Amino acid sequence: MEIADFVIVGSSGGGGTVSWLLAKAGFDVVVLEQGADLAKPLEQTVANPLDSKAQDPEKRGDIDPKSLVYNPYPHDEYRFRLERPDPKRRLRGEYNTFRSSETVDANPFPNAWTASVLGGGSIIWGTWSFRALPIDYQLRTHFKVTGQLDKLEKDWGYSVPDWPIEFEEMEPFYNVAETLLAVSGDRSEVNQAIKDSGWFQEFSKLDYFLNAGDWSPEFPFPCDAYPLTPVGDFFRLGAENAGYHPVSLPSGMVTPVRSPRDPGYETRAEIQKALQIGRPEGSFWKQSAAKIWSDRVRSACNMCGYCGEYLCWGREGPKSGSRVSTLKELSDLRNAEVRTNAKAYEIIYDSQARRATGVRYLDVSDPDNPRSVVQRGRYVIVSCGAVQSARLLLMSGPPAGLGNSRDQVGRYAMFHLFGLGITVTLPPKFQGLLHGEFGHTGNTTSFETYFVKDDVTDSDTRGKWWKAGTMTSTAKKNPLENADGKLRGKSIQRPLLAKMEEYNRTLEVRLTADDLPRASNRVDLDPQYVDEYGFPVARITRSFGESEKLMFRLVKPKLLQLCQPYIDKGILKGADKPNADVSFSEAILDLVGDHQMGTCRMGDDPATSVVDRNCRLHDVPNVFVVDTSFFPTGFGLNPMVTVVANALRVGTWIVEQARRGKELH
Amino acid sequence: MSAQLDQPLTPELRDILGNLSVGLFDLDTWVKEVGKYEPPDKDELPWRKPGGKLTMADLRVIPFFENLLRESSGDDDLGTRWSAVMADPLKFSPLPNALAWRKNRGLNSPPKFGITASNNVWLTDASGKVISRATFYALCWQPLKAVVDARQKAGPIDWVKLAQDLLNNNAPQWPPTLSPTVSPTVSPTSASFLIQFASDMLYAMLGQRNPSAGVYERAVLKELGEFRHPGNEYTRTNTNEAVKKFEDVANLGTKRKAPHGNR
Repeated sequence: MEIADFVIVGSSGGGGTVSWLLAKAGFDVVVLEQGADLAKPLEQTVANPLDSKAQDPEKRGDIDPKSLVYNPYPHDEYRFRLERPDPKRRLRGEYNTFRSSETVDANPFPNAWTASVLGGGSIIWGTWSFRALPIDYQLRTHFKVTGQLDKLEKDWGYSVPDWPIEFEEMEPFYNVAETLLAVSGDRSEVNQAIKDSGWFQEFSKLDYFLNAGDWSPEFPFPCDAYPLTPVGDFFRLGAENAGYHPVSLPSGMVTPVRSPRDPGYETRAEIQKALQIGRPEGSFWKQSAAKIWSDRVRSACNMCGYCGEYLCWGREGPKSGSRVSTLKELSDLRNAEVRTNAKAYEIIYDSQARRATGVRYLDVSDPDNPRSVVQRGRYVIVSCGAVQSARLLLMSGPPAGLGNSRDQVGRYAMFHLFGLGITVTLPPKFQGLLHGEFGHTGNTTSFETYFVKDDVTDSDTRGKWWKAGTMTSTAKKNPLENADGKLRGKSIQRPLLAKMEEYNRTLEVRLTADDLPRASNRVDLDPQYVDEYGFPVARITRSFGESEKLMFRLVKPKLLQLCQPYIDKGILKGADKPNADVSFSEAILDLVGDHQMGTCRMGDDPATSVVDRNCRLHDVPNVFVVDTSFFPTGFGLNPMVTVVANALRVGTWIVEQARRGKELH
Repeated sequence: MSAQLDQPLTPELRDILGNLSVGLFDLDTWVKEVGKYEPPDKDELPWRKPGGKLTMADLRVIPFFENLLRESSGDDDLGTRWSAVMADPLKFSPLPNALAWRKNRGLNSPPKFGITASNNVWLTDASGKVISRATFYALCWQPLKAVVDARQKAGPIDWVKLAQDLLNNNAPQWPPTLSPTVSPTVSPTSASFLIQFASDMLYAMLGQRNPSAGVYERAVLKELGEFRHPGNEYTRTNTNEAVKKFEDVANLGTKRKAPHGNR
């Protein structure tokens, strides 16, 4: 394709979704993905070695055909958790640098990654699938009403905006996004749990609150709730005892079958249901579901347990992500092309016309002998993850970077508070009983800590509710990775075996919590360090502000409370006892995982934001950013559903503008 | 395939490493400890039958290890490339004038390539040079044999103690490092060797990719109570049974309020 209508850089929930919608609407689309298609070998299947007939050449004709779709490639903990260079998290020769303040030099560090594989973060994500809550779009309004905004902004240096779009506008796209992600869950249970939370009861007294958006969405999750596991049950028992309201974690997985006759997941039928409940505006959505989606059927999760950061073995993609949904549909279209191993390094910019004209990339199929390629395009859509999107913009256009005339690109970076939570090790009588192997890592969740009241300190923050996030039970699934880590801490022989035994009885409760936006938390180009091809790597500057530090203090007792029935029963020794079985950990400052947000803030004011309400650069009218970079605030939950919903919204807007003959102005 | 790659280990080295692996993980003693967890299918496990033993040889860790050496032999090429980039960080830039491009963007510091510090590499020698598994171990065989020879002269080797001494860099025959002028790369310390070797043994033992071990492939996983293994799948019935068992053992005496996906 010499000149594409759209060149889309990145193939995860943002790029993978918008590329499908635009191609489906008839535009010529080229998708550039810097990683390889790691899932490709899954299509070359072999007999399951566990099938005894496969071992006997004379009986091979009797093999159950279903077993032929097994492929051992993704069931390799070493390959997917320990191998370096990490083939899914970072391209060979890629890395980032980190510093905790602008006054010190940054250094290369291991704790940051950007999924570098076809499907991007939607391949290796944990599948936790929440839509945002209405209050997430109006945090500024909320804190203004409660009188906390001055504390946050004037005293503590945050910049907490409302989103420039209404929750209502997003809601129909959330419905469709949940069908593409085959979210499993129980909607009424989730709605009720939110309403039963302490913060909801308190905020319901505020005039604006209940009008902020739909607090009781009617659209049922397209799949039944994922089965409860022992780890989820540990959390549930503790949470109910504490007066919290635990629910089955909404998950982007085709839920396991109830009977062998279950037909699998029919995306088209689920889209049809979403359109019946609330059809998004725009001509694209006036089509029938049969025009929108093929008759592909996705298979149910077989609970093999190789989920987080692994490639789903699954037959026809039970684990959701663009690779098994939108990119699969895209492969049917002749006006779309996906190029893997395409590492973009410049959005080509015509300074006279103030427009982008394409993307320059390295074809790294043979990384020792890369080839520089130009793909021309009328429009460019960036979706590389918030760290790499900022890096690409800053490497492009004018010396200060594309879209960066106001020094806003890369600022307000948010990464959620990874590492925040509790770790619990049960006594030996629970050996072999937690069954971390069942399905994905999360299982049961609670919104009780979405806001937490300060009844801990004696400062002027006391009595107010502060932003935190969702807490979720998390299974330990990787015994090899754990043992290797303990070994590198110089443990061998029986002490190492003891630690391996403990791991089997260990679980976590993680708090996915907001780090509120501050301009000083940012991504820019490292002035010194370069990657394999001589390009400056992304430099991440991050510190925790007063809100995060306060949150650590407030959520600790809430999390430890989950263990109380087990402590009362004598099963666990509490965190305050010697040799405690329970430990609390604050977030890890330099852990920058898949939840990267905010480096290209969406807003109406070009002085304080990078993209407008349609995710288009204020400075350059034909460049869009549709990954999590656009988030003005970060939520206390996982961003994937919102990214997909927003990509649908932006794509719909583009199609509509083009249909009216407008040049997207 | 070269003879060296075809047979990466000599018979003598195989013996030494086999013994060292036993010194690292005395599995049979562990399995026979009083009060240790017993897998649900314990009666069917050959190492738990009367007279049975669980040995590292059963797990075929050394043949697996030799395969690893063969597989990773190409990694040295990457190390050579990284050395070239470290010496000239803009060497592979596609830009016509990378220095001018950097200057135009205010990137005035001399460029550096920080791949080793970023940990997006697997093995390095003591100088930080990226090397393959095969090269890493090739640097270790001579000092390892020197340590073993010295101990043998003093009597039967206590392999448990030897493993501990190697871990603590406490084997006098293993030099802290070899001089770069003697060797093109710098020898790993004995602790680096032991940790890498134990790591590779864990990979062999924990059932991910060692089908040659047959029924023993999952032996250690089973003894740990870990049920995930290549090719497995589970059902709602499995989860329901597991939750019930968990609740029976926890015995908290509370009733579940919500169905949570199990109705």
